[in-house]
Amino acid sequence: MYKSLLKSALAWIGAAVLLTGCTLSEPDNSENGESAQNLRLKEVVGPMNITMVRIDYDLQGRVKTVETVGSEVVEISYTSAGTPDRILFTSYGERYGSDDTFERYIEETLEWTNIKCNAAGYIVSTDSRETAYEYNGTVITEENFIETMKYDNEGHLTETATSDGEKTVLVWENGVLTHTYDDDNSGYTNDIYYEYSQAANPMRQWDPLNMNFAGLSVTGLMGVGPDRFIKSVTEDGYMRAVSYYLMDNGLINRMRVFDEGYESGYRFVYENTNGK
Amino acid sequence: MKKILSAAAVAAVCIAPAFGQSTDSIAAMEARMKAYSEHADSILNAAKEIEANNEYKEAQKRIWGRGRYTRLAYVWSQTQIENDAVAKSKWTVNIQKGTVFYLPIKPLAGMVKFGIDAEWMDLQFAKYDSPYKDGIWTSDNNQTMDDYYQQNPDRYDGDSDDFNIGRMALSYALGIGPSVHVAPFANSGIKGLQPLRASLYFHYKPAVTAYLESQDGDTEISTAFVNMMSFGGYISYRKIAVGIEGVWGKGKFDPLDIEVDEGMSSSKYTRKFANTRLYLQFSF
Repeated sequence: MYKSLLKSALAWIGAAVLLTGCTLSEPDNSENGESAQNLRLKEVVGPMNITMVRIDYDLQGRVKTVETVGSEVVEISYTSAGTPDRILFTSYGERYGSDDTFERYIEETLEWTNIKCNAAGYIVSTDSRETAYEYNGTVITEENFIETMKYDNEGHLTETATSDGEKTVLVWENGVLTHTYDDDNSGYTNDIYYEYSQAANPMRQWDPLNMNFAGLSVTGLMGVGPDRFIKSVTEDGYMRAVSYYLMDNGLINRMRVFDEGYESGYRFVYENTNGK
Repeated sequence: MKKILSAAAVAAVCIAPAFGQSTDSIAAMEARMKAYSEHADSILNAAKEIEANNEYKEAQKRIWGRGRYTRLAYVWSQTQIENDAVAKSKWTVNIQKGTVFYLPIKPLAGMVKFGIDAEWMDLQFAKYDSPYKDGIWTSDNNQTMDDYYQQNPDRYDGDSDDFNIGRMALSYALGIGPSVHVAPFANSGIKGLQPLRASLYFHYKPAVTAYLESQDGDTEISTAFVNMMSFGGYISYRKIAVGIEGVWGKGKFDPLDIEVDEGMSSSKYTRKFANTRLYLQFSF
């Protein structure tokens, strides 16, 4: 009798051990098996659940707004034909108010109108108006110019230039963007170098945190992304390492960035193209 | 005692004729003596009952203990923001103090007791590794940085004075829940084995938890009320026990931005916890 009781007690404890081994499961890496074509990027969420990039779409599924780390917002409106009609970039500044509370104010706006696209749907020229503001809303400067964009045969953005002499060159080699620099005779070149991993980027997806051209890279209006995923970005001689964890459909699921001695993680949140 | 009383009764019966008592009075004396004897028997039985009761209480105390306990645990803990990677602990420690209040009924079959556990303190500190380590990544950040530092040794800032203490969580919980205790040798009469017990319990543990991340001088802390549950069991012998329990739950954390850039939108987020605790229990 005692042996059977002891056995049952041990069985209870064994069951407790099995049941109490508590673990959490890693997130689903397949986005429920959705194909990449049926998904669109909604958010990139950083440490402590801080939303680094948020993208909103209109009813037709076109990008309506892109907000980047709270400091820059891109708003796009479209013509009835579906081409971009007006794009407004708003950059925000930060200051402490008189009562020591934090204030966010519009520092600069860039408005694109008369937007022309090529046959592939990429923007090739715009009428631009750039306005700089004081924190109290007073206009400091206002400039009007024409901006043009060039692409290579594969749909890579290779150059942006303004009628007042500013130019940014994007150097592509074997399907990947390796170097961008400013070419405006000011002496400041703003060189950014990209190194790549061997991992293929089948959807030519842009990383809106590390390869964000005025918030537009994710809209599809400025050409396609590189053939492979970057592994580092070097700016002013300073490098940060970037690595991606991919979903089965090839889209970015997570990203980790090693920056100034600390590794932080980001997750890419998608929604179905029908908005769910 | 009984023998003494019986002898006295017999002596009384023998001596009575010598004093010229009548047969009737002898019979009355015999009846009285019989009554005395029966009374003595009942006193004796009561004494035995008291003694047995004391022995039972002593045995019960020996088997079931005092109920108060202190647990020191080593914990394998995990945490995760919903749908994000799982961060596993580098190390985690826990201390618990509580009491088992046994239901005031006799043990079932002499060996099964039920109780209500109340925990006054469940204090845990966990240090976590970065969650972004496992899995197949497109490149190895450490390798990329090593190559870079080799080519640019002047960029290496390994001796940085930046405040960087990583990821950690501190939680304080209370607990309440039912428990069942089995002492399989309680009826064996073998005193050495009687105190061997196995127990199972389920507790609800409301907790206050703070989660902290620091990097390059930026410190971010979030706090939450977390609904935790625990299920566990232990084997005890007298005042010492060894046990294991699983503790899990989640809460909505509110970030207190200490040095996060203004303008960033930090919002409440749900964080899950799962702990497996191996503990030593002392019941003094």
